[in-house]
Amino acid sequence: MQEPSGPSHERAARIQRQLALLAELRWGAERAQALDAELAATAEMLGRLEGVRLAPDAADPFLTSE
Amino acid sequence: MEGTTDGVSADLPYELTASEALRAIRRRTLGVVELVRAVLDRIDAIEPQVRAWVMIDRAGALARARELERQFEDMSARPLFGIPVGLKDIYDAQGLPTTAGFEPWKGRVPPADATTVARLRQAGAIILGKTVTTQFAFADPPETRNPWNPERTPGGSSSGSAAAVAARMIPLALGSQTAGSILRPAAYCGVLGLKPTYGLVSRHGIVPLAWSLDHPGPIARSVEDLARALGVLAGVDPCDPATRAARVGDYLAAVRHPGPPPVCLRLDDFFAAAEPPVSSQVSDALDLLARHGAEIRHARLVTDPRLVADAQQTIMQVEAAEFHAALHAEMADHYAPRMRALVETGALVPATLYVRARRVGQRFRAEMLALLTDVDCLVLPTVSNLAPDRSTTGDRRFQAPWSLIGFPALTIPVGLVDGLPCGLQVVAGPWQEERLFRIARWIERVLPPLPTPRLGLRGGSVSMQ
Repeated sequence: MQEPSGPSHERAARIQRQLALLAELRWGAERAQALDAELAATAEMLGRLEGVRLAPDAADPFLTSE
Repeated sequence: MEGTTDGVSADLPYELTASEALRAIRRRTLGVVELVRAVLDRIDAIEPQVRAWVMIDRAGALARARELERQFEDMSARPLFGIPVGLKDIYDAQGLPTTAGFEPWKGRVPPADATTVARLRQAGAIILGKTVTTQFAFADPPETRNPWNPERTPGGSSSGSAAAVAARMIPLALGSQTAGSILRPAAYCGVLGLKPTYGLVSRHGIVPLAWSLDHPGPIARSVEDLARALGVLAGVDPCDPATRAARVGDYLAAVRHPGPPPVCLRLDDFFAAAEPPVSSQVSDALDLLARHGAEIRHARLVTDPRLVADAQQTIMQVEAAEFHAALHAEMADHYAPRMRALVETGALVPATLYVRARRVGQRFRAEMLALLTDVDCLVLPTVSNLAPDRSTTGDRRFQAPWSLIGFPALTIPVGLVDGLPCGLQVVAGPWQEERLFRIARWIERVLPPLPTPRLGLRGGSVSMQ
């Protein structure tokens, strides 16, 4: 498996670990394992969203990514 | 049987659009019972190839057709008088089961109509039956075939509605869109579809997928039919708070007065991301529109389109997980794999990132409103690709942005590539459906229409044309 690199991948990897733990607690180990690919895809997506920098006022159109 | 003034022989009433059929009924060159029998015969002949229907209310439809024929004098007040309509199997219709593609719901018969269904009936429409949906209107592939090629997906989740309209089983059907579930199947099947402004059409009596993203809307074979249907469906409904601000227009008048060639803003990011044959076909269509007087301008997005897709997906996941929590707790094993994964991962998403997704949506909405200040509409390919094989319902990335921000979007076919249809997506600002219909009607008059798909039965004995 390719090692994640850069802040975005680090975020995704961290979120994936969090989701995997939550999945095991919520749905059990077997089901958490079955969800592995979906959890990875979700973590990647959430990692990108977490990296978005929004202005404090949501009405402000300023937005940057990374 | 006489020909119609629309130039379509009423010898094949199932080939008529809803508006053409209405004109034939008004002239008494076509009977309502005759029309219903024609579409039922058509369904009998080709349904084994297309698999678009969950159930057909044959007796109910014929009884209603006979009743309407006795009420001919009321026709002028009923804009869908005698028109058979298919309902995606998430819409409640009194007396007919709503299964949402979920096996344990096979016997679930609602006591009342959805608001939209009640409005259809009041307008004289005949509810012919329920069309196939992917389970709970998500993304598990259905049994339905694409009428242009049975090995390809019709798209989803309004799979049966789009396939049935394309295969001339029905002139008009209702679908719903949370990501891309009206426009994508309509484009893959070579018909027209409309996702109205969020809050223009009531969701009451429709099984939700994600409450803040769900849009009911029509699928048909002409712009006039979409406008006619929306005129019936749109409006405030006390049972759906999202419709409180609904601004209803005169959509049929808009279609009758298409107006000057539009100023269109081409969203170049989507053309770059589309597969080359799709990008090329839609670009050629825009060139043709330009030669007829349309002005095509270009724009690049500030917000990364991938983030927009992420925001839509995150909101859909979380809201689906919330709606399905109780049912999933009891019946998880009955869920289809993708739907189950959606619910189970959605339940784990941090609340802060759900809110972040909504804020990204607000930002994208502001950006699109600004882009629309100087032009009539935005244009892009409806889908990135041609209908893929049936292991998927296709790519929702090009439709999901407009579901996220609630802007009205319409798909219109622009031709065939390798025998498969390709669609142009036209997007307008919120509550601008009249403008959207004027533009779409202008485009419809310029672009050559698609032929009827050839439905050759592979491995069978029946061949339909």
